[in-house]
Amino acid sequence: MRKAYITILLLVLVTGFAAAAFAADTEETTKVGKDIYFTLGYKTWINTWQTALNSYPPEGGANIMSLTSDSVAAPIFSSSLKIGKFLIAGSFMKTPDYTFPDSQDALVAGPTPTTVPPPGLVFYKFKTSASRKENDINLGYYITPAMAITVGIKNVKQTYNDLNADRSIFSTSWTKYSGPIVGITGGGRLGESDFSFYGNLSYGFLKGEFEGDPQTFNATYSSTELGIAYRPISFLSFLVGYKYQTIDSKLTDPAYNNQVALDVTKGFILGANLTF
Amino acid sequence: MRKTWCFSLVLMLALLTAAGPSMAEEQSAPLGKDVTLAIGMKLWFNTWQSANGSFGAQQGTNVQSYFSDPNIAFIPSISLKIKDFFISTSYLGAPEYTFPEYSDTIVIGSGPTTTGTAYTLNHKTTAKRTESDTNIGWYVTPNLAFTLGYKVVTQEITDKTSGTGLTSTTSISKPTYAGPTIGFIGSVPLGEGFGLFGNLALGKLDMTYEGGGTTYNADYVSSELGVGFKEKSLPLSFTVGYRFTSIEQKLPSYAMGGPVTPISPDVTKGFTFGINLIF
Repeated sequence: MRKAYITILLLVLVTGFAAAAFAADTEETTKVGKDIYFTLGYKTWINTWQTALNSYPPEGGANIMSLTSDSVAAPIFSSSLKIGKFLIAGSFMKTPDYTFPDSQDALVAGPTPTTVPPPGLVFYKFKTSASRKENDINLGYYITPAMAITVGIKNVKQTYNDLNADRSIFSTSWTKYSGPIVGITGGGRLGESDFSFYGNLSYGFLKGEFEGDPQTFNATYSSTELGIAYRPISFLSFLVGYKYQTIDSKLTDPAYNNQVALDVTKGFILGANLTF
Repeated sequence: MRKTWCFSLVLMLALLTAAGPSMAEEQSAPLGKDVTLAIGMKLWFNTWQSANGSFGAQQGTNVQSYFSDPNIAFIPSISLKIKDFFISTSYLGAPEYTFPEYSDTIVIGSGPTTTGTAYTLNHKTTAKRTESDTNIGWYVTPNLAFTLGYKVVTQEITDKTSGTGLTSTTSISKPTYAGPTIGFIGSVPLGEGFGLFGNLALGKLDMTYEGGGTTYNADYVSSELGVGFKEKSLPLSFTVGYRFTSIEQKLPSYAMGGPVTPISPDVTKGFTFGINLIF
């Protein structure tokens, strides 16, 4: 979610993005001590990002414009340590720039109806790119050998670029989200094969903030990933899955009438886990 | 995705939502040798984000989205498994969705070089939808199956517009999405009667409005992940999970010269609670 000032007009960009927790730890770990397992993982998430750009009431009305990026390959680094029935896991993601479609909105200062001078149609054009960083850390408890429940903290930082006509950067601003999450993670072998099925789900309540704005807002976070892992040799495994994340930002300005700005990031994910 | 002509006002709305292959077969029990049958009912506590394309000449060219209040959809399903193959079908129905009112600035003028008049156009939107899917599947292992299916989504969107100086209007748009899907379902036992299950379906749908006209392409994805429980002595199983569906429609006519083609998104997501009766 982003706030930016454009001449006398305030334009708010709302986005959300959520990141992955941990991998299929149950199936990907190697014992490094008595009841101790350690895993390092790397994933590439081929994802698109649907973000939102708020109109600025009253000039632009009170609505939410949706922007969906082209695909980027985002790297995700993760590690986990399991001791007995307890787990600690973390991940970090830093993406390249996403490019969003250009769009435009009609903006007219003052109350309506009002007569506007030539050219009459007052449009503001948006050219936007953005990147994001995410990290999370989770503590888990295995209620069965194949499934753990988790509690953690999620942090998301989004950096938005307003672009000039030649697509050079005109200005930059950031939006941050942070808050607690809960979830489950589980997995198990598919028959007697070297393949396994895995999945994880996280759900949380985040606080969002715009750069330069002391007021925070509430956002609901969800993330799911499921897929299939293959372990050809004891110290290396591969996975392919699908990951879907959302952040629903509740707009605090009464003019928006409780509208929610949705942020979705989704796509296939490929990964490898190296075990020690 | 919906296209709005303000004031002249023609409203075309295309919204999408979807469902994936049912998971009833994961909780099924033998009906006969190598034959199992399950009938399920699922409640989906979901929200629906939809979108419509603006009328560029008056509003600017953009995709406006709106996010519904929470709703409860019901999803009955039935599945039959014979040896390593199964066929399943499900239906989704829901009460009417209500979206918060929103507004937009529109400028009405006779041309881009003349004086125009700006108005605030208020939207009050409600919508209904149904979904159905039929899938056939093959178990490559006892707990992983690949699926092929066909998905149909129908929607009816009612948009009431009003504003000072404007004529109030009501428009109803009825898009239908239909097309093939491919996916997989998987599960693993967790012990004590519990199991982790998940499914994923991807598809290419065609969208048409009631009354015919142009056919539009849309990408579909749906997934559900959750935990199931079956007491051995009872012909019942229970599930709790999280489900999302997404349909995205490309809008090349909304491109503003940039490198990325605009998309009209449609997202439905939320927690599910299910029960399966097993014969």
